[in-house]
Amino acid sequence: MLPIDNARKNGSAELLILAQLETRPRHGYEIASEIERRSGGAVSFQPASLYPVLYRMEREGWIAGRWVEKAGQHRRRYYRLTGSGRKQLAAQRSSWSAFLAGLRQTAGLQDA
Amino acid sequence: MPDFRAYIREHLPPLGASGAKEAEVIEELALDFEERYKSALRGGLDPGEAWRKIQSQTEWPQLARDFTAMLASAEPDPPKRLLPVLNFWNDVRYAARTLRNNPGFTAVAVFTLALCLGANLTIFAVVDSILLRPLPFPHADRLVSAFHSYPKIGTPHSTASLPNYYDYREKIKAFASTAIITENSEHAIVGAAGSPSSVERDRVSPEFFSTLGVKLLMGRSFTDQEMVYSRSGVAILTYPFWRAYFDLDPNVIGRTFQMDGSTTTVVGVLPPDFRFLSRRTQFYIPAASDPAERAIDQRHNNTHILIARLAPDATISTARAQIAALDAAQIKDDPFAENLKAMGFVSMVSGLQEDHVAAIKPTLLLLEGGVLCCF
Repeated sequence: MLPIDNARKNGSAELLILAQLETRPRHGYEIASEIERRSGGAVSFQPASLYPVLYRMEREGWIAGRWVEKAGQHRRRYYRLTGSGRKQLAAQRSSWSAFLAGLRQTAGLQDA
Repeated sequence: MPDFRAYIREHLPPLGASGAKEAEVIEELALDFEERYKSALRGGLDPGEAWRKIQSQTEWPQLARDFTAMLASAEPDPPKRLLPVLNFWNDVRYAARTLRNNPGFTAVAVFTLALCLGANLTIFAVVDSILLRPLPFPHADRLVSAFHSYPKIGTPHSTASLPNYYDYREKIKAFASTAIITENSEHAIVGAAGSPSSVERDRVSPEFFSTLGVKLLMGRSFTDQEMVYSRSGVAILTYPFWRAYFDLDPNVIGRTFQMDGSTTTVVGVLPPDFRFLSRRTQFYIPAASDPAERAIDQRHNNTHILIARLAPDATISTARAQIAALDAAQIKDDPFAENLKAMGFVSMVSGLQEDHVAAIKPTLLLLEGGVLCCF
């Protein structure tokens, strides 16, 4: 499977990131790794595309970043989901679900 | 492992954010790069291949463009007048983080700052006590020092002589009180046979303490009669000497002690806080002399510091003028008149504190300037 290109990924980047933070805070590389792992390598984020989105989402108040130091490790910036982000995640999930359902019917898509 | 931070700093175009924010971005990216590099190594690539992969995946123009857009709109613009404060606060936070992450550097920086502060405080304390604070005597601004100057032989500041003292106290009306103290302290051997010790001693004239405005704790000052060798076996003790040698005996007046093999009688005790300039004198004895030492040919035997308290209406200029007139009259019968003219002899009068610090002032100011440069 070819990696999804940027143009198609852009619209879903926020949903993908919000979903990775639903269970616990993660740092940037961990978010990218988790997305790549869960998508089976179909979706990958390079730094150039990941961090600007993280910053924008932080500006929107959906996530909050904080530098954390742990013994024996580099300090890292962990992002967590805020209350607003949790609502945004639910809203985007609902919206994307409806969109994908329509897309399937309209374009004859099949489940992967 | 490649230096990811240096690589990012080299390639990342300016983001237009504060220095602290830009540093955070660089750090976050560097950590990401490092993880990706390690992951590539774990995936079987050799270090060179892993590094090339990281480099090829980074689209710098896009990264800079997106970051700039994000950072520019990340927060509502604060009022312009607050920008310097916010930038300063960001820089402080960034500096604090940097220091926390570099304990070695922080230790050196703190040590250097402490050293500079300590040096500065020490030098300032010296400058304050010597240059800025008035001498610890009542109306210290009325105290002056008179001395001889011979500028043509490179001696602009000499001292004064015994004849000067006797002449000035009689003829210089601008001085309410005139006194002398030997130019240098002497070492005296005191104590009983078998337990002698060496202490510093000064010779002074009877009015020395009253000229300074110092009242004795007990006893009296010297008398004119004691200004001859045969009757000069008396002493005025400093408080430390009184404590060390007489155990603060309240009946010390009239007691004796051995000094340079002679018996010396205590006639007075000074208050605890008395100290003349920077001297470490333990006790004082009369500045005794014989007639030969007070003769005309001894006028320029400069062995004493002459101090005086200005009369109520007098100024330093008045005193200078009166001394100049006296010099003009005395040089007529001075056996060394021609020599004195050749040496450019002139008498000088200056404030006692100014005179006291004149020699050390440039050095102290230089030191103060030096430690200030630490900052």
